[in-house]
Amino acid sequence: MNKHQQSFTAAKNGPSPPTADQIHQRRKTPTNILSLDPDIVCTIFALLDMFDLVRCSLVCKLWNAIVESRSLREFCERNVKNSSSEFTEKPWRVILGEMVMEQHRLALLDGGFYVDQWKGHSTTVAQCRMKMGVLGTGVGDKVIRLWSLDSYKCIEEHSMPATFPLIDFDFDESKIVGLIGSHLCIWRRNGKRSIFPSLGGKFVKGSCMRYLDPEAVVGCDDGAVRIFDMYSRRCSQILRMHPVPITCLCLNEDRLIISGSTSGDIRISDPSSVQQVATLRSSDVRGIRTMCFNPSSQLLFAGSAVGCAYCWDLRTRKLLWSNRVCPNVIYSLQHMQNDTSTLVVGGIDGILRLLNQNDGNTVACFSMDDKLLSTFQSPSGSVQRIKGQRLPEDDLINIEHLVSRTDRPSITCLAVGMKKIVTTHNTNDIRLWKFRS
Amino acid sequence: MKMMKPYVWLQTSDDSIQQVEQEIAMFCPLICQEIIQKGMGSSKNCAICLPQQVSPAMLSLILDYCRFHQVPGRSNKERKSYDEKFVRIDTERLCELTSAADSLQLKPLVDLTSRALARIIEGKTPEEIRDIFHLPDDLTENVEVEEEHVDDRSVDDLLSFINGNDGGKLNILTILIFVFT
Repeated sequence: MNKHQQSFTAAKNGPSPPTADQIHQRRKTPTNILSLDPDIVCTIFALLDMFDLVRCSLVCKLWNAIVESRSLREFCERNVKNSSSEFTEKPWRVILGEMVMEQHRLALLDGGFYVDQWKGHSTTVAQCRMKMGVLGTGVGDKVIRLWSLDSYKCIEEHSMPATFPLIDFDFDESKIVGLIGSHLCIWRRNGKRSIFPSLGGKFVKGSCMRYLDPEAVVGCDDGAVRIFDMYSRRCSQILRMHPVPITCLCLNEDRLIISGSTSGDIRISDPSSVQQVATLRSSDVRGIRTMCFNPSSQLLFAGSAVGCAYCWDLRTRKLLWSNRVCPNVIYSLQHMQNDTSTLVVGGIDGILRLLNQNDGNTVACFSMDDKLLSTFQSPSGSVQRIKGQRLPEDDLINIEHLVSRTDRPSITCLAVGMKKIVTTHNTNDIRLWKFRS
Repeated sequence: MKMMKPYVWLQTSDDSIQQVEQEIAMFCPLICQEIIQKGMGSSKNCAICLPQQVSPAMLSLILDYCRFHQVPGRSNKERKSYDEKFVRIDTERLCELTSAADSLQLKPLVDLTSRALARIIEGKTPEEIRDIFHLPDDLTENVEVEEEHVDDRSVDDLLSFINGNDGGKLNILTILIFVFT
């Protein structure tokens, strides 16, 4: 119980008439909303929608207790009478999850934003990944770094073993897996590391790598994917997927391997049956550059070398939409885990684009303004906060001329988190685009 | 029952006593009960002691409200526009008024002020709400403890909890704080 509430209770129960002092006190601290009866506060809360209600529950302990005591659900049932049946049948987690996604979507779509930029690597950094709110960056110099995005602090640094360059990497709570030259390297987050030659002595350049415990899958320039057991360190399978180099990979929960190639075809293989499951053809002969798979909707997204974005439904293997969204190469497209509304696309023109996952239409474009808002020190050096700008949406492809070339370095990779996007540009800067709802 | 008297004596929270038209005061169920059931308010010596929440200023506002609505033959539109203007007061007074009206069990006025307060809250962030209502920011202390407890989890992590991958160990509150602040 807080002070206000205590004094209120005392005043209510106190039988003695107020003294002049107390009256003076009353005038100094007039009745505020805290002294309202919880029942009235409930009446007020019952008039609010879910979003406002959740915000109210975060205002202070007392309000939180009030919201929790009645449970949000009860308020909502009272509120959303018209659509209540559908609404209340959903589990609480689902409702909450949807709200969170809606917040994310709205923030990206309409919210104001700024860009925090810091020198994350000594030479260059090309790739970034985001997991559980931790950012991993690497490719370009000799280290992989993990960052806390709250403080911009580098929380871990793992160095490359030999002279081989890092090609691709990914990480989870316990380890980081990297493709280094023709080797796979596993760093335990607690410090130990192990390396093993990934390509069985025979040198074939790997171009991309994804893993799903216990297997790591490497896409190679000879058109094959090689599957490795990360624990026995052996190559367990080689699948010939394409006649041309593989450019990108996706794995799904059913352990299907989806690979994109320089020919513009995407092929799906099931390692358990050896057989090729399907081919998804794009009209783009210059090749697929990047892919991402959304397990929530079973949609596969791909970006091509001429700036087209594609979407297939993996269940029916039908092309749902394809759209030319950029004037040139798309290097990266991503969405937040479990988000089925928004896809973020970045490429050579350095402009971030937001697509609707369901129809491929561009709904927003962003770039950095040249206005520096502030500079502050983080544990890892100075961070520049730069104003972000939304670009007009009437001519979505040819908006390059609106922003000077120096203000929009090519986006080589991007990662999407809750109301935020991280981009790397093959420079030594890491940029975090933070949106407000 | 005694014959109805035109005036009734009311004592407000500052101990001052005033005379008001009985017809109007009777709009408040609490005052009505005191008069009918206990025979109070007929003289200065047996003035009805109003609840702590009712200051003279609030009483006068409430009586204004009652006086307007007591007049028969007003159109709904007139009443509505009066109500709208009536609650255009600063937030502190609005809270005070809500509290006072509630203590007098004057339900229509409680509803009116509650709606006005809800409108103030709508679309605001927790921070803004705290500023407007001078509420203490006392949740964060608690959360810091929780954060340690859940070992540096973040929104994206919490999302997986929402999506059912976690054993429900996390407090929903923690998620909400991350997402909505």
